Amino acid sequence: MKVRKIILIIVDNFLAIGLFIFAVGVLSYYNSSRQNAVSSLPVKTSLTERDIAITEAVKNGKKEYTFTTRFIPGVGVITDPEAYKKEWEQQLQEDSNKKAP
Amino acid sequence: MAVTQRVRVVVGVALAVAGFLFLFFSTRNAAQLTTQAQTGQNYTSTWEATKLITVDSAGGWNNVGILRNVPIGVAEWQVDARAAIGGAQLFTETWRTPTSSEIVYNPADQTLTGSGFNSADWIFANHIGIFGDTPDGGRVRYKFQSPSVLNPGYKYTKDNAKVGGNAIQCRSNSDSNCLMPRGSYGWEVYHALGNLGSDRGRISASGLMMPAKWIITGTIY
Repeated sequence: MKVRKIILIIVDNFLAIGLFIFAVGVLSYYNSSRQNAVSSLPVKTSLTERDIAITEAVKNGKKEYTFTTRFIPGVGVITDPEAYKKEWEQQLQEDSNKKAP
Repeated sequence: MAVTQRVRVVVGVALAVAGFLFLFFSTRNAAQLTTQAQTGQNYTSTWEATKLITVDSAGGWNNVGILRNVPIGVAEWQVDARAAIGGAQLFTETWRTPTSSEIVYNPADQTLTGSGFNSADWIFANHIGIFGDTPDGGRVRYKFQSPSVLNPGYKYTKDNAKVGGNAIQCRSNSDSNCLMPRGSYGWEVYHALGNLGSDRGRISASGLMMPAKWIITGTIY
């Protein structure tokens, strides 16, 4: 009889229990998203491809990861290869016209 | 069970399930936060070149001799990185250019050939200047070599790899026809001295072979 009473109380308050779990879940999710957004701002580098690759590896429980990037160490991210080439050629042209003193 | 009570139970279960789902995804967000931190603040790393791009070219005076093995840039990096946010985290990476087989430029038909070579993956320029008719048909060869072969004992790191170490090759002291790096992944042949009249002190040939992308494999420890 006691068990039945307890079950009836739970059933009677199921909506309230469900609402409580829902509220805790939403608050927890909101809090973690906010922390993530705030913390990621100062730590972002030009290598977002690496961030994504490592994040995915950790999420999937893997130790290995791979990615490609247009970031050239020592040079930077070349967004327009054709423009870089033209600039290089222009500088070459200027230097070629110079003669030794 | 009355109808209204059933509805309350169903709605209660749905809300509870949704709440658990939010809890689950908030845990995943926390895991992402840790890994993002690894590549940002408190991030330290060491870079060591394990393969270099070198150039062989003539492009010089009197069609004699080819200058060889001048490093113009790095073709493979070994990276060790440490991040110290929320406890030490380590990862290592190997950075490779899209190909590491010899690439040959033939000025006769202006083609680039090489095993696995894709021109879209490289930024390329080539100028055979005032002496176009050179040994080997004016070909320029880009090779991929270990630093230890070129310069034993010299360590190429991120700080000193740009200039290619002590790279410069001159044909002789008499004409000072020299092949040398020109910025990152570039090269030139330059006449600094000699009996070349109006051509004295000129760039006679030059080129650029820069990777437009890198392929990276990493391991998390």
